[in-house]
Amino acid sequence: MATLAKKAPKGQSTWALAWRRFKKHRMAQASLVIILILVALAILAPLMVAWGWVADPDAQPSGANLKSFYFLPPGAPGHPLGTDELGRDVLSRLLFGGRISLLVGFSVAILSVIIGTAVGALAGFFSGRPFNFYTGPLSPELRRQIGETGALASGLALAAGLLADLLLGGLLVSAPAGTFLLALLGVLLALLFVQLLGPKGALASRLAWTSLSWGLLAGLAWLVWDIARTLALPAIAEGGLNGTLSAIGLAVAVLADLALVLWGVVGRLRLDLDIVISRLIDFMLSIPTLPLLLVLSAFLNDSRSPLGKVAHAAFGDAASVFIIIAILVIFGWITSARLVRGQVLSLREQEFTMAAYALGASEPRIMFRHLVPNALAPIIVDATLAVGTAILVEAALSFLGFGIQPPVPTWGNMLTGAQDFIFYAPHLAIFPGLLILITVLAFNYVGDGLRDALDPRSRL
Amino acid sequence: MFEFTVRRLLQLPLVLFVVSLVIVGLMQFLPPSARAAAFVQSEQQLAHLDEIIQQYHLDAPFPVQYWTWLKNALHGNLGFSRVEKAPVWDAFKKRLPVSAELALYAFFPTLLVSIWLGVLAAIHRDRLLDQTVRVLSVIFWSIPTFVLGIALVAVVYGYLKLFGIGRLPPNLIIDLANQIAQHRYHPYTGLLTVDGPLNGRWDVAWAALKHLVLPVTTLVLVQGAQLVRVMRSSMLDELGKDYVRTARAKGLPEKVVYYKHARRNALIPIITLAGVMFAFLLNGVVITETIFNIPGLGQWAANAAIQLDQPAILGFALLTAFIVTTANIVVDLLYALVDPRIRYE
Amino acid sequence: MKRWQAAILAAALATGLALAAVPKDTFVHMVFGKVDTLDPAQAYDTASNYIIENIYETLYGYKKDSVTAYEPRLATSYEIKDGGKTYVFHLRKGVKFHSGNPMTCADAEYSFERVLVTNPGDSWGWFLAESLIGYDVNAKAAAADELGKNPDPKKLKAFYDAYWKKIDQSVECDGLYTLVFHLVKPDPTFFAKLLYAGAAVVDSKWAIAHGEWSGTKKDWLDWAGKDLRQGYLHNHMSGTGPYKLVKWDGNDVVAEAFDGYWGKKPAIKKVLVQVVNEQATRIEALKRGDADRITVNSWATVESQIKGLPGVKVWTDPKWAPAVASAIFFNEKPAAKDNPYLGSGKLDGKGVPPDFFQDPNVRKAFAYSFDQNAIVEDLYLGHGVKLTMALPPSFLGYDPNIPIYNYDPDKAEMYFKKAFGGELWKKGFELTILYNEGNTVRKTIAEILKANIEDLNPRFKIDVKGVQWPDFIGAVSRRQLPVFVLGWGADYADPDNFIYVYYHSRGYYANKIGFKDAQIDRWVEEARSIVNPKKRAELYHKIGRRGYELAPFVPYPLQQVFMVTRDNLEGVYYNPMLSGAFLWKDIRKK
Repeated sequence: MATLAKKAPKGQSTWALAWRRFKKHRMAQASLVIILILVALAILAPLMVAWGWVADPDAQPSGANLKSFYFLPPGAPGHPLGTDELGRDVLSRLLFGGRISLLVGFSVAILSVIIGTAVGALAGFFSGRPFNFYTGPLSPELRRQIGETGALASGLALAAGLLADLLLGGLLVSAPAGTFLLALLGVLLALLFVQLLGPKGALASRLAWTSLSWGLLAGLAWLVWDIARTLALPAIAEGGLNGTLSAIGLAVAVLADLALVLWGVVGRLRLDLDIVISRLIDFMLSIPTLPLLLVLSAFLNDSRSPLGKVAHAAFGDAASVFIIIAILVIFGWITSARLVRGQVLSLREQEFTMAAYALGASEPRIMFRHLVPNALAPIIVDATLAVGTAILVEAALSFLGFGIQPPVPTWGNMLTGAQDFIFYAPHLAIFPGLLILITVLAFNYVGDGLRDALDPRSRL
Repeated sequence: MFEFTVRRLLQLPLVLFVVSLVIVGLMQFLPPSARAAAFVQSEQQLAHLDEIIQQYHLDAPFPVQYWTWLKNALHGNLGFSRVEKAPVWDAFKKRLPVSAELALYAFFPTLLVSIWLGVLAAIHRDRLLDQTVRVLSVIFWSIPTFVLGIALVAVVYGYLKLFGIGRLPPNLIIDLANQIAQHRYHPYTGLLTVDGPLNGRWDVAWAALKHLVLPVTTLVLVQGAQLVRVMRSSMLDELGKDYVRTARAKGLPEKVVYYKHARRNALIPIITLAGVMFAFLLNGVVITETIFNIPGLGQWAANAAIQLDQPAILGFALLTAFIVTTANIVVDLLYALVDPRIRYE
Repeated sequence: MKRWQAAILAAALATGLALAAVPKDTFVHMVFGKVDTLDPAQAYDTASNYIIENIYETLYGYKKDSVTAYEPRLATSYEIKDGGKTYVFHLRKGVKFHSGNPMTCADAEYSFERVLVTNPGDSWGWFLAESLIGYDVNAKAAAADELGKNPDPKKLKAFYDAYWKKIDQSVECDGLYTLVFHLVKPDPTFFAKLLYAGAAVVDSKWAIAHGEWSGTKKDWLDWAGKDLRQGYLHNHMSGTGPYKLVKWDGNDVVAEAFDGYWGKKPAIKKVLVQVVNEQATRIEALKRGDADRITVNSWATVESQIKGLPGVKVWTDPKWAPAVASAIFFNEKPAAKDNPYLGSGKLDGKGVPPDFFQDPNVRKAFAYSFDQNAIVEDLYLGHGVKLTMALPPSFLGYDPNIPIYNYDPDKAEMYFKKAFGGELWKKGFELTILYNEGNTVRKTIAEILKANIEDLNPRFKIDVKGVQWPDFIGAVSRRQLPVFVLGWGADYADPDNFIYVYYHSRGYYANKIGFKDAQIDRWVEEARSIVNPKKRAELYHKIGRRGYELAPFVPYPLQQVFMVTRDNLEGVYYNPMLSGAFLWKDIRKK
């Protein structure tokens, strides 16, 4: 931030300046207010039920006078926006649906942007150079020795991990043979990947160069994963707060593991991280998203698949919310990763970076204190837009029946039911549809406003 | 250039392999009885669940199942879709033209309208036209496809009683089936609007067009909204560049500057986006076909995923992977054609 | 707006308008479910049988709306010999298939043997095979059951030969127009089985010419247990019915009247059965006259959205009950290991022991906690038919005089207090009832039970959980569910089809819930072996009454049937054994 501040006019921080620019964008301001109202309503929804302002979203009338509660039009006493085909209060379901939709929107955006930024920053920073922070000169002989030990260590760790998986088998895949085959295929694919996509030269020569740290880290990754799941899974099955915490712990462990394995493999094989990540992104982009999304959610929502089990134990009825978030993040990080990569790639060549190097700043410091903060503006804009997109995708998935499962209401699955009665009770479709529109619109306008505000080129 | 194309095409099998592996792998997480769901339609059949699992080898281990599928797939047999009640390959043949017709009618209008509006908006920057285009594009971009679709069904079909749902009205469905059975109508392409005139049946083409209006409108509005934004900003970028100023300084008429110089260069990002949009269309088609009851690939895929119809899901995933990858290659090649600075080694 | 723009807009509006109503000789039916297969030997669902019953013909058929009166179709008369072990049918002469081939006994023999030979696991063939050859599965499955997985090849060959011989001998021709069935033992249900839509006569020459089973021993084993959806008859039809298939592409079915039909020419010449998944769209099409009949899922929809629409008619009658019986089952032997639906699996207030429902007091307490009136009122909006036993009311042997478990919290409390010697009332319990998402009947029943039982004692707890259909059937088939709600639709119009399944310890449902009563088993077997309808009815009455006393399950009310059509449709009737309620040939349009 220090570097940006230098460019700003006297006495004003960049952010104050941005705020002044943002204030000129009327639509963005109005949208911000709308978002704040929606968030407030979502947070207050349970309280509003408790205070008796709105009806319980799941309350269904029963008994002899049941018929008179179905499809009440908006304005009916006690039901300002009417009732649905089961006689449930539409307003209340909208509020609770908003909680879920916004939760999904924000979580997906934040998680995708964090992951995307990390991946993108690494890819950009290490583009065209070995994947380790520069620590000073090493003699070639020493490096070779370290490398060989590292290769051995990581190979052993990998084998141990596989063996452990075989023995512990049945936790993840029903057939241990399946685990083994998958792991083997993974290794083969990785080697194929290297051979096909790496710069010219034999695979063997690159295998020789490894570093002890990366090798050990790869092995450590297996260990962490095995310990984490042995410890965490029983707690998760119990449910409750411990279960939730364990589930989060496990998720972190898995992510850390993935990172470590990537780190180990890339480091050990001396690949260009940027190329690896770019290829991965290319690959992800060439995968047809919708069918995969459909399959993923169909199987994750099954309470007997491993992730499904974890999610259902930890979140109960709302498990599909967690699952949908996970699925959207899997496909969501790509945009921000590409964005940040491009930013970092150009920023690292700029003079202030050179200056930081010259002042003797360490590489991690340069990356996290100089490059990433300077790329923050587009990241924020991207995150804002990502919230809207996530809400849209969640709604579409829920509409098709693959997203969040009833009875948990979301704006998307409220519309699924509404379609059956579109000619008879259009209010069931109008309100959730309108709310999705308004929310996404608001996030788009805020995103636009932020873009103008954070762009130093735009006039004040 | 040639080598580049070949290399990209060679990546395709890898993509297809990994996609299929992932999907079959994912399906293995489910117990056989859940995977048998696609086979069990009634409570009576539930009584024979164990026999069904045995008959279709649903309890075979993952490697065996994958290998069986792969072996058959390599022989051109993609399996039998329980949802479609037909081999996957037949489902492709029957449903691809239906989706393609929808996609083509949506694709070109979207492209043309958005280029036209985007350029206009950029030229008239900050004036009423620009403001309107911008507001509308944000609004339509924010509307979920299915909300717009449902709204169109409710208002246009239900309330105004215009146009139709499905592909053809009932009497034409019957008529065409008869004509085809008697070999008096030949479905050469499967596209009604093409086959109709080829068979001298203009009424079929006309009815099909009327039934395409609503879904195509839905797709055009949603997808066009995004393209307009890109086209507008790309055109604005070009208009700010030196060569435009030079052209103006030379005294060229504004029209020539806009349409001969700036627009051509502004089209480059549109090409990339058009490729992306093609992939998006495949997704959009799933939703529009569900809403408008069009028997295309999307409707099939959604049903297949609900019922865990493994061969169908795999088939659809492979087909879309193929289409998306090919579209990307075409885009890259087009890119090089339009912009001479880009070269592929 | 400029003038040319206005002109274009006006033209667009005009062309969008006016989709003409369906012509008078055409019948358009918009349905929800897709046809599974058109092969009569495979089809085992209503959507498929709906088409098959109009295009193929059986030897005898139901007389209009009756399930007990028959009329001759492809046969003109029949006689029963050998004390019920031999059936002789005299076939109609001069009948032509849609391909132009004449129908003879060879076709009938081929058709029935084809069912016996193929008999895949998910087809209806089991009940025909049971009567004719004594096995309810195909040769390969039977061999696996009897000889194990890796049998001695010699034994296997001997087994197959014997099996083929049984098939070959069970259906025989005596001349060109006499068909003879040899049964394993006397079977009063056999004639009713022959009325199943799939027990139809297919065109054997045409089928063989297109690569179906040759009709000989040569390739019969290749066809045993084969998935017939991949054969030629899956999507091609050549029957003798009043309509012939024009097109079926997986979705819509188009049929037209068959000029060479032997019977009366139907008034409706063209038929379209169109799959339209959205109910709103179906209703809109009916309103516009684009459809003559639509499938509507519930009375709630009829009452709120359809009644009173101009040009639309809702057909119903308090006597119209579907040929279905559904029940809430109490599982006496749920899987004890790894069963998430039993809670702790012990009688400690946090679960139920696996033998929970073996205590008759618990079953009765549950039965008295279930409010049948609430189902009729809440779900069917008053249009319900309560069942006294697990048998459709239109069937032989149904006894309307057996009492019904009506909601009675006092009695429920009494039985709960008696259960497990009073332990249950003190400690309480917790269990899970599943329903499949989208099935409102199952959901409502589960919720009624939950509300009424939790009301009795704060230590009673019932979780109601919605899952997807795959999960649901998975849990049922693994016998995990302590309480579940399922039904059975009639395969053929004989009470045995229900009574055996529900009450006999080897029947599908009784077996699933571990219900076994020696007395009932004896009665069921006796009723199977005699032909006299009066005596059979008496036995079924006894079974129903004992079923009420033991309460292994509680039948719940059926929804009164209704049909939604345009008001110019005439000749509509309701036969619960027909998948389409009526045959296309019997209706006409004003």
